[in-house]
Amino acid sequence: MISESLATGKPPAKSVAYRVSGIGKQYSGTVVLAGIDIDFVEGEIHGIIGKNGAGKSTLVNIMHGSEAPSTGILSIFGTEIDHLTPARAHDMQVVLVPQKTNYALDLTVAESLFLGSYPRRTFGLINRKEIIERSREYLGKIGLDLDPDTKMADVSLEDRRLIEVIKALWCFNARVLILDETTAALSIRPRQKLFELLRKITRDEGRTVLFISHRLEEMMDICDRISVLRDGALIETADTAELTIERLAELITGGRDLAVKTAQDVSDDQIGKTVLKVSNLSQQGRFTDVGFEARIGEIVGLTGMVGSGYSALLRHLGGLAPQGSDGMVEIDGRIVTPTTPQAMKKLGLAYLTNKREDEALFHGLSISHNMIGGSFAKYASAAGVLDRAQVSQTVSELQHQLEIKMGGESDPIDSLSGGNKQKVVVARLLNANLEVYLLDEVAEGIDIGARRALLDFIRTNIRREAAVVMASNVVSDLMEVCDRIMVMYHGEIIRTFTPDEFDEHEIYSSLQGIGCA
Amino acid sequence: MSGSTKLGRTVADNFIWVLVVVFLIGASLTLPRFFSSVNFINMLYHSAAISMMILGMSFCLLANKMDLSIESTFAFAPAVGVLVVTQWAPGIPPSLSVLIALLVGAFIGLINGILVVKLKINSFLATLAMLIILRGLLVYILPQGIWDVPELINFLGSAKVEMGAIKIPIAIPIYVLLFIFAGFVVGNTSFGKNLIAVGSNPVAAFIAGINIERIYILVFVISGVCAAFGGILLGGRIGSMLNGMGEGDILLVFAGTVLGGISLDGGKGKVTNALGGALLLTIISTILNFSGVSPFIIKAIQGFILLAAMIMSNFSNVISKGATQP
Repeated sequence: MISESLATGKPPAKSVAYRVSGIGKQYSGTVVLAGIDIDFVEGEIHGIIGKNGAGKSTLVNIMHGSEAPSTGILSIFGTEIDHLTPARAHDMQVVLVPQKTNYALDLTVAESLFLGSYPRRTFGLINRKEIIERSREYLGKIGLDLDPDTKMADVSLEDRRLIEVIKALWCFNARVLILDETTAALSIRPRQKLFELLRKITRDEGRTVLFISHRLEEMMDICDRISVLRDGALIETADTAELTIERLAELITGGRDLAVKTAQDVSDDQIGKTVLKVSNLSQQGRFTDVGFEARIGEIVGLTGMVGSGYSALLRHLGGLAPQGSDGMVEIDGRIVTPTTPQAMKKLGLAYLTNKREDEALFHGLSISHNMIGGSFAKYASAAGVLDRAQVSQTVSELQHQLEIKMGGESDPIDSLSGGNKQKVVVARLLNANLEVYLLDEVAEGIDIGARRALLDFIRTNIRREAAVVMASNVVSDLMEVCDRIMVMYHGEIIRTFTPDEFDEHEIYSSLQGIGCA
Repeated sequence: MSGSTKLGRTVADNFIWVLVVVFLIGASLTLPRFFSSVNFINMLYHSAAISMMILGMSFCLLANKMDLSIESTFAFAPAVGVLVVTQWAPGIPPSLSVLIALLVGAFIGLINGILVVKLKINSFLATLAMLIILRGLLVYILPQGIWDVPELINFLGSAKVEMGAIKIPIAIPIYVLLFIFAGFVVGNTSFGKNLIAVGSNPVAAFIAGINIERIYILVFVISGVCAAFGGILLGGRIGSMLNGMGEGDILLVFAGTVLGGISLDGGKGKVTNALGGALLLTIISTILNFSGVSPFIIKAIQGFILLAAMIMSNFSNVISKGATQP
């Protein structure tokens, strides 16, 4: 291809790496995807974007072989494929780096990289030397300074993601690389490294990248073309050069109002009493000497890199990790020791976990069960019998308030998309009518339109009667709703930004530890 | 979800009753003397003891815990109750034997609960140890059977009510109503909802503010009490207390609960359906008896039915999730 262009001086004809034609999917009557026609061209970085429930994950699963389409044809490098499976996809060098990966944390970096493709010697024994050498080489390509013998458990979450990408590219030799929300947990520098790598493998090596993400700026930055999905249909495939962010947002949401709201419009007299006060709080190995106050009507932002301690701080305050701590916590003026979530709930404080799937959802149970969670006692008579009508009404109200896209309340929770599941968990917390909300990545997995609505909702409704501490590594979200943003670094609060100081770049630098004493 | 799939789901969830009806009809058509009120009542009657154990086990499994000790509590608790009123403290009213048995069952459950919750021992292992300990203690305190059980126990286990030409043992409505009551509690009380949540995801339940330790201890206590009551019913039926009662029944108890749709993963299944599992096992062994099949093969056949039920339930899971791979 490249040599052809050098010889003739003409740009090489782009051939199609992967073509989906008329792809559709339905689950017993519900149409999830319909009539998707996209040509993924060799050497391009092609973005796929859309709201929660738009069908991105389904499309990706079909293209990767873990789900079968109801209609349509897949062609990989010109060959039509019937009954694609992940194994076959790998054989054809189509590799997916999934959104959530379960790592075998006992393995070393090298072992993890070559899992499934170990080079062997005689008698089927694994060639360790080759594995280590090749690991070093591949890690170097992305600029990761890691010893291949490091245990995965000791590798940071961000680096683990990058290792997955390396694995796809060089251990499985992906010609078509599908990245499903890979950048979600990455901070600035690793993301830049990744983007450099992606540009290299597409421009220089002619590989193809499918880049699925929520983040508009990112998409505009890295992708050559972007396909927008909405409600299961392909709205448009456009060249990035011909798009603006506003146009893109419009395509995603169908043109609804997405005016970026900044700053707060709460006046001082709406700020109430101090409900949460933390002084000199430390927990061994996690955070040190943390102190702040939160008053009713305030939304306090909290951010930092993964491992800086902000999550640990909230989990401790929420009663999940009571051990080894020192210092003072006051709720409503009373000194308390966070012991269990149950105790904290009685005091009017609750923590929303960032690990939704493992720690918040009751898989296999109904939507309504998940929404009420641990609060069923509220709906029980003295004898303990539940008032089903009241439960249904509450569920219905919450569904309405948070605009949760769902079928019936007794449908299984796993019938909902990720973003809607998150809304159910948020609803559960709201229903508990607390005074202090500790939200850890509350908008995770929720797409742009709904995210704004949710943040708005938090800003207008919750803050009337409660104080909110909102932790996130999406600084722009925090800037939108918070009254101030605390940055944690290596377990300490190193800086607090007031609204007039809000600047995404400044805050990012701060959480990297740059520019602090 | 369309109407037909909702019906389909209801049938799939309660499939055990379909099986029960199928087997009853099939047996009635092919075996002489099967279709008679005497036989049907007998089958229900003989299910009483094991059904009580299945009821207790269902609670544990819903919370994703196991209680292997029930077959020993089944014999131990009533034996203690009877021993107290006949030999150890003969002055007290013999009817108290029932209360004592239930309290002993509850206490054993409490011990199980503490072992699992406070000492953090895996429930399988902790209750396995209790299974052995209790049986050993029982043989020690009751080396020979007691052939003279207190009247109340006899009454509960053997008394019959006459309705026309039919005599119905009162044990039948007692345990059936207990199942219905238990089913109501699990489905319609906050305790029941919390129990299911704990079985489904204990971490999430904990974070949601549920007291998971209390739930675990409660299910073991319930299990102990159910086992004790089952032993009372059996003792009343056979008119004696023997130290071998219940030995080996634990496997059938598992079979019955699983057949009845209680998931071994916790948080899934209906208690009332576990009753169906118990009945099906009894129906099958009755069929085999009537067919003149050697009694020694009956257990193996019950095992086969259990295997078939698990395969079917797995199969329907795969279909409903639309997965192409397991």
